[in-house]
Order: sequence, then structure tokens, then C-alpha cells
Amino acid sequence: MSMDNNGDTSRRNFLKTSVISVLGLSIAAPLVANKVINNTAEKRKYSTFALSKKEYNTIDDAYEISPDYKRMDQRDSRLLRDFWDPTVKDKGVVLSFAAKALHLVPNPNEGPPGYTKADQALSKASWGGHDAGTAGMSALGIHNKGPLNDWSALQPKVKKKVKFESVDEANQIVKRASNFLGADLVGIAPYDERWVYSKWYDAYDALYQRGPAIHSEAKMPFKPKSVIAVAFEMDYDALKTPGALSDSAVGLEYSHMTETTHKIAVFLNELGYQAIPAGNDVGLSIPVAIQAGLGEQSRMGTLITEKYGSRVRLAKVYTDMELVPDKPVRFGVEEFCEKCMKCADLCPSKAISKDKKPSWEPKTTASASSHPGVKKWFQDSEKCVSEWEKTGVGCSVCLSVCPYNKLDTWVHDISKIAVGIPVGRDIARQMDETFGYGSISAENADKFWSKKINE
Amino acid sequence: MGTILSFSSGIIIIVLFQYLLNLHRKTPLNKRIWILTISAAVFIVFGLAWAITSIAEREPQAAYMGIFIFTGFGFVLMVLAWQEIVKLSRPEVDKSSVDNKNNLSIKAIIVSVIIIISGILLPFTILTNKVSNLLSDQETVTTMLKENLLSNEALPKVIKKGVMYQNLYDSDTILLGQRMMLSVVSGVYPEDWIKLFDKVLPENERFLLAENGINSFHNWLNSEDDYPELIIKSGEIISRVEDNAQFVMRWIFSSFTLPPSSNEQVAAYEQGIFPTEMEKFMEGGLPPDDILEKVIPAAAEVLEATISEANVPENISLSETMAETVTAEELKVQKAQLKNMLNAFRYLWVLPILLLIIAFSIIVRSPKQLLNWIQYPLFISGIIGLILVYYFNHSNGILESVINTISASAPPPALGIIHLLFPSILEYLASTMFLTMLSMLISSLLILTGLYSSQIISNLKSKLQSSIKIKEVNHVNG
Repeated sequence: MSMDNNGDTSRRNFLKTSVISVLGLSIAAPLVANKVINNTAEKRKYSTFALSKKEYNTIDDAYEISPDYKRMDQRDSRLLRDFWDPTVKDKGVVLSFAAKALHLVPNPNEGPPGYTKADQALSKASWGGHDAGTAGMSALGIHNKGPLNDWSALQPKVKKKVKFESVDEANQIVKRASNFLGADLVGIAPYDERWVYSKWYDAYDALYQRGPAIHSEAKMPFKPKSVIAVAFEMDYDALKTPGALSDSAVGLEYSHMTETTHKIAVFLNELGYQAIPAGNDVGLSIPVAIQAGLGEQSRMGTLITEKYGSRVRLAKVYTDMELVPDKPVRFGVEEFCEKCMKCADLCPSKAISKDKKPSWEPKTTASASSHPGVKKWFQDSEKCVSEWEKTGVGCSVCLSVCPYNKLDTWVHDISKIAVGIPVGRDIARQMDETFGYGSISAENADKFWSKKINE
Repeated sequence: MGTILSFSSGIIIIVLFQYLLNLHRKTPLNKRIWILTISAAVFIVFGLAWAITSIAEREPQAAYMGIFIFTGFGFVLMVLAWQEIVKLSRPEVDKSSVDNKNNLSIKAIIVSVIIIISGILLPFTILTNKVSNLLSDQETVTTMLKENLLSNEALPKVIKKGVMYQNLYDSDTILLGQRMMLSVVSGVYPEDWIKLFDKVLPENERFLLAENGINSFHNWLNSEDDYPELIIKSGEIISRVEDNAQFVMRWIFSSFTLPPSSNEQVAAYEQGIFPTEMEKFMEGGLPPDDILEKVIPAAAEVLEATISEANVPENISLSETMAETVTAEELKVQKAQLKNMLNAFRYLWVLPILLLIIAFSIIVRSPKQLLNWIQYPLFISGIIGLILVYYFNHSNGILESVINTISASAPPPALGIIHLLFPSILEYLASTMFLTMLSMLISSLLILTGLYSSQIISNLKSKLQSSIKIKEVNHVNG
């Protein structure tokens, strides 16, 4: 109650104060709530890296790429080396994975949280879309397999190509369609042959021990003009768990990748254009995503996006539709990665480089799958995959512990702004750990399963 | 969530500003107070908003840290603002009398430090005493080994954990075939393991082996013997395997999750072409039932031949085996060190007690003073002890740290044994400590209540009397 100078209750003063307070609050609160407290995804501002974000015209302006850069031979990727490289053939990681996936042998780690039967069943189920759609091959990098990746079926459905009012309109329609069909982030990259494998390595028959692998010159079925790069957000809660449960987050997005890229290709076919979907197959995904402005490369070799950090899976659709490419962006990831090194410190197999700066050649983390020619941090694929062999599932510790891996809520805007400035970068990792972010534990597995549904 | 957040933030701000406006009317507030209060409100509301959003994100640690850092800082600012407000409204105080009371006794500081150190040390020294007692208690140790490692219920878990750690920590040298074998062994159901154990080494014999093993260790520790004496009748166990070779092979084919044999392999078996090595039988997969009946005898013969070639001795003497790797002198030194360590652990609790006696002798002059001081170490020890008990009963974090620490030096299968034994050891220690720690805590609270009981009662009396007087006055006036 408002008091006058004698300390007595005054109705007039009380009314005056209350009305003013209520009026003020009713004006201020919605503004505050709208800008600061509202955390629904649709109303979120896209980027808070304003302090450090820069756009570049081309990927060559954003990164140092050697003029002698040679396209990668697909058979040099670590998983496909299982089929021909004598230094790793006896390890047989792909075969041991396949044996566990087909229930031919159990996973010796079965039992602890993250590796229970329910966790392993969820992991298998999450890969279901990918396995059914691409015969399980897209993740391995093998193209044109399965009903959702059948190039012969993905042909233009009309003879005359649909033309839009402008290239910008075409861009907007393609992006909106891709987003509607399931992509969380969409960007357009120019077709750049450097990122297409020089040779493809089809190990489908070799995997099932029916015949040899086919190592052939990469030949696109048409001349692409643009590449639609798409990214899929992985489940935040699942990625914080160990073992098969975290692999579920990965598998689910591989399934979404398979389905969505197929649908995008069908969409383009319906408009009269050629299109082929690609997951890990056809070519490299990360440079395409960088060219499409989806993010920046990181110490661990993955893409860091502004909205989801490292918590994305990438795919692309090659098309002969002419679209305006987006611009590559950088928003301070390299500068932060120079200081942070959390992924390198916590990698169970120490496969991530601890060199301070990116380099032209791998120093401490050399691998036969390293592909020099771009200034970057290199990873030791042998060590990385050795962890997969041990656990019997793919490892995603680096993705999970990365400080950029956050939900898209307002509380992280402060840290996103902070990492754009030098002082913020110095303390960001420590603050991240103090606040308990980026921890992987068995308790998180219990929390994952105990989440309330239908509320 | 957002609605609750907005609503509660609004309420807090309204109430706070209404209060300040009232104060400002009575005594005009200066700029410093306004700045401190507004900043405090911002931090408090921000911290609460941070916490609510972090809980929605299922990040509880971020929520607690948000409250601690932001809201906590806001409360500090609020306290500073409050002090400024109080200064404004209070008359000037004679500062000299206040200064005298603020001089702390140096003795009290020293005694307080000693009490804190002793209070912290005491539960840990009680723990070491319990550890020493446990290691000396043959019966308890034997029971733990039986229940957690050797029983029919436990031994399959030991094998599975051993295989898991072998897979996780020794993987650099393991090739595909060996890896598949580890997987296959890990998939054997517990009831199938029991069938094999009952034929080869039943539970009662395993228990007897454990009792003899612990016995021999204690005898060696408490005697002048150079080595512990234990004889394992390995020959008997091996001959059981040989006598039951067909059972063992049938068990392997039915318990291991082997992939089905290829057509070529089945054809070879049908023609009577069998491998001469055990690994090849495994690699050959699981043939159809009718072919399996032909394969089992052939595999049993190979198993018997493999065992014969291994030349396992009739008896394995622990003392002779140890003598090959460590000399009697070296072992004598290690025995002396172990005994000294056990004795030290047993009596270490005397140290904090001595420190407390020294501390009290410095400051205590009466029984009441003793009670006044003793409640503090009791309280500290009780709380720390109960926290230790809690963590021992929820030992996953400790176990993980221990495994990570020793994984570089311990053989991987041993990590499996530690994984299974360690939690029960911790739970045992927790159960032995719980009552002692709880008693300490309760004692300190009883002392506190006892010391201040008269004050509490007189406060209650005066409040009751004043509320009766007010009612009487109102009744008279009304």
C-alpha cells in the first residue's frame, strides 16, 4: 500500500502507483519477453555472431586452398580402405560393424547405460531409413544404391524446365521446399568439381563377399550447375549419452538425409530438372556446405554451424538448375578452435590434432586418409575408427563436447557474442565446463529414457 | 515456461520498485542505492530466467551455476544496497565501542583452524581404519569374493566384464577374428555358463579355492613364510575338460552365437573333412543339426589334442610360480610395507583426536566451553562423513576415476574384476561408517540445542507475552 508523508495509507497514492506500474509493465514486459525470454525456434534471431561474422565471395577467399589441390580418390577414405589396404584390412572394422548390425555376433560392451539392448535396438532402428533407402551404403560412401538413391529412377518428370521470375525467386523456392521437406539448414553452392571424388569405390559386393569392389572414374550422369547443401540437426539429448544411444542421434539424421535428399531430387525432377541425392557418397560434403554458407570448418574436421554448432549431419543434392550460390561465411570458429582444443583433449583415441594453427600437411595426426591441399587441422582416421571398433558403434564424443554444440535458446546468445571477442574466447571453454555443458555420462542415458512424452 | 518466467519477473520487479518508491518517500534514496538495486534486480531476474531455461534444456548444472553466479551476485548487490539504506535511516553510532568487540582473539583463530582441519581429517582416518579392518577380516573378504566374483550368479558377469574391458582397452592389437571371438564369448547367456562351470569347476569348489587363497594370504602375512602356500589342482580340472570334451564342444556350438556355416563348409563336413585347429571350427560357423552331430566328435578330438599339447601341470603351486618372478627378499620387503601400511591405517584416527586435544587445551576453561567448541568438529566430521557415505553408495563416478587411473597399467580383464568388486567394497565401508558419522552429527545438533535451549525458551516466552499484551490492549480499545 502506498504511504503518504504521515505514514498513513492513501488510496489515491495507491491507485496512482498501481496504475502507473501496471501500465509500465504491460508495455515493457511483452517487449522484454519477445526479445529476451521467448525461446521458441520460429521467433529466434538467426545469428548472434554479429561481432565476428564475415562473408566471403568464394571459398578460395575464405580458406587457403592450394592451386595444386587434387581431388580425393574415394577409396582412400578410412572405411573403404578396409577392403583393399593391407595396413587396415585385418582390422575389419566395417565387417565387425556389419556382423553386429546383422546380429551375427553380440556387442561385447552390451549392458552398461548407452549399450543396453534398448539402446542398441534404438540405434539400429534410427539407421532404418538410411539402411532401407540406400541399402545401407550411403554412410559408407557408396552411391546409387537402394530405392531412395536410385539414379535411374530420379529423372525429370516433365520435358520443359520450369522457369521462375528470377534466380532469387528460384533460390527462395528451392530453399523453402528443402526446408519443408525436412532440412534444418539449406544453402546453395556452385558446382565445384574439386569436391567430387576423382574415382568412386563401390564396395557393395565386396562387403557381402559376393564379388570385388568396383573402382572407377567418377562420372556424373549429367552436368550439374548447382549443389543444394542441406544440414540436419542431431538430437541434443541423445548426443550427450554414451555408446549406441548417441549413435541413435547420428543414425536418425542419416535416415532423414536419405529421405529428404531423395524428396528434394524428386521436387526438382517434377520441375523438369535433373537431380541426384548424395549423403557421404559422390563427393565431399563439408566444402560444399562451406561454399553454401552453412558454416565454418573446425579443428575436429566437421562443420560448425551458427545455429546448431557441430550438431549437424550434411548431405547434398546435385542439380542442373541454375541457382545463385550463397556466400561462404566465417564467424570466429578458427580463432576459437585455436584456443579451445576441448575436442582434442577429450577424444578417447586422441585422433584430433593439437597443433595450434591449421597447416598444409598433417603433423602429429597423419593418416593414409589425410587429404592435403587445403590448410586445415588433420585428424588421424585410424585412431578415430579404432574407437568405433572398441565400442562397436560410431563415436561422436567430439561433436558432443564442442562448446558450439548448444540448443538454440537465448541463454547461449551471450556465449555466442562472447566468443566473437578475444577475451571471450579465452574463457569460453572454462565457462562452458563450469556450467556443466558438453558432458557425456551414463546418467544422461537414464535422463534420455525418462523424458516425459505427450505433455 | 516462458509465461511463468515473464509473470514472475514482472511480479519481482513490481514489488521491488513499489518498496523502493515507498522508502524514497520516507527517506530520499541516493543514486548509489538506485544503481545497486536496479543492477541487483537485473542480475536476480536474469539468473532466475537462466535457471528456468537451463532446466527446460535439461542442463541442471547450468541452472545451479546460473543461480549461484548471476542471482548470487544480484543478492550481494542487494545486500550492499540494503546496507546503504540502513545507513541512511540509522542515527550515528559511537564507533569506538564497536571497534573493541570486532577484535578477534588470535587463540580463537588458531583453535578454529585446528578444529576445521581435525574435523575434515577425522572421517577420512576413520575410513582408513575401516579399510584396515576389512583387509584383516578373512571372513568378510572371502564372502565378498564369493558373492561378487565366484558364485554362479557372479562369474558370468565377471567373464562378460573381462571381455568388455579386453575389447575396450586392448584393441590396438586385436584383429578381426579375435574381435569376433570376444564378441561371441560375451554373448553367452549366464545359464549356459553355469552348465559349463558345473562340469568343470562347480561353485562349491570355487568357493573352497577362494577360502584357501585368502587363508594362505593371511597366513603368509602373519608368519615368517617367504611365499604364500596354495596348491591349485589344475590337473584335475583339465582332466574334467578332457573327459567331457564332447559336452564342451556341444556347449560351445549351442552357446556361442556363431553365424551359420557356408554351403562349402557344410559340404566339407559332409565329406568328413574337418579342421585340425579349434579356431578353424569356430570360423566354420554353426552347421545344421544333423551335420553338427558329426562335427562334435571330431572337434572334441581336436580339443583333447590341444589340451595335451598345452602340457598343463598336475598341480600349480603358488609359491613356486611367485618364486619365478619375485625373490623372497623382495617379497619380504613388500610384506613389511603392507603390514606397516595396515597398522598405520588402523591407528591414523589418533592424529585428529590429538590435534583436538591440543586445541581444546589452548582455549577451554570450563565444561560449558568444551561443549561449545566440541560441537564444531563433530558437526564437520558428521557432515563430511555422511557425504562420503553417500558417494560410496553411489559409486559410479569414483569407479570410473579408478578405472581410468589404472587402465594403463592393469591388464584389461582385471579391470572387469575391479568393476564388479569395487562397488561392494565401497558399500561395505559406507555401511560401517554410517552410524558413526550420523552419531557425530546428531551429537553436535543435540549440544547446540542444549547450549541455547534456555535462550530459545526465553525468546519464545517474551514473544508469547507481548502477543498476549497486544490482544488485551485491542480488546480494551475495541
